[in-house]
Amino acid sequence: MTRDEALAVITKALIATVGSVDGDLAEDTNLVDDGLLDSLDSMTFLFELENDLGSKLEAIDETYDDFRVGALVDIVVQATS
Amino acid sequence: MTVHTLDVGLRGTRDYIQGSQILARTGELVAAESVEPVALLTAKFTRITEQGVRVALDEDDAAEGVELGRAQYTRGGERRTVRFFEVPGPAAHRIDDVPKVTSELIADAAGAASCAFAIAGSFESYLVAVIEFVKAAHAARGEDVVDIWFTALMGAQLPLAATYPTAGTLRLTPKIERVVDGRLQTLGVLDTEGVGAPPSFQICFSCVVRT
Repeated sequence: MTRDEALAVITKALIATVGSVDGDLAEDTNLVDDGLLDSLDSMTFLFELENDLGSKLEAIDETYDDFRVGALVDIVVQATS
Repeated sequence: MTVHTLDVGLRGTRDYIQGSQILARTGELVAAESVEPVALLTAKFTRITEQGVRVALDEDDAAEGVELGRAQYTRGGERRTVRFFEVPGPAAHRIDDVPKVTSELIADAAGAASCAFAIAGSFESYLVAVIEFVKAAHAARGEDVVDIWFTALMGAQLPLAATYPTAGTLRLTPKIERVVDGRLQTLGVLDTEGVGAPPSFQICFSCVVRT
């Protein structure tokens, strides 16, 4: 999966979680720190993301806390390569 | 403005108002406004209370008190977001406890679990069974798991009408776990087996794992 494709999957999971997203997601956006997701939403977001990918993201364990879009893109690209 | 005080109480020895009561009483208010069938889609609780609860039935309604959470119902295809608020003042009145409705719990250390249930078949009795089951599944993970709370459900299609199976099986499949501010947050998929069972949905709980 390319970075653009990974970004599209992440955006889709985000929309499924919060309903809508204003504009395009930038790689330096932090979904939690920038207020797009609260801690409960982040669970739903990860669930939607793994559902869309059809597999568990092993890099995201219970202590994972880096919700920068760029970091998530890295994980998705690596998991699907 | 459509802000209502809910008829809820502290059930048995609990020191908090159950989410199942809040969601059921609110659903009745939403259903009373229309002949269209009503179903619960999502619920999210950010705080608990031992006091009374008010519900603002429209998102723009102003209500006093600390916000406890939100829920979304559908009524004839229209989505409706409601907000819950604590009623400032003394603790709510006490109401009788209800007997346990789940049995035969089987759970593993990772949080996967199943149980049998026997309920009246109403919306509230189903919610009580689900929450009782998932709470027990978390407790079964070990004696070091305490302070277990129902926090949210998503992706649901739970009718307010009494269409639920009176007996069947509940299954929990763990999906996501995160540690936030020292608490373990879990998201699992809840499946129901039985005649007239609703589709699966996601349910979130929060607990403390003592180290």
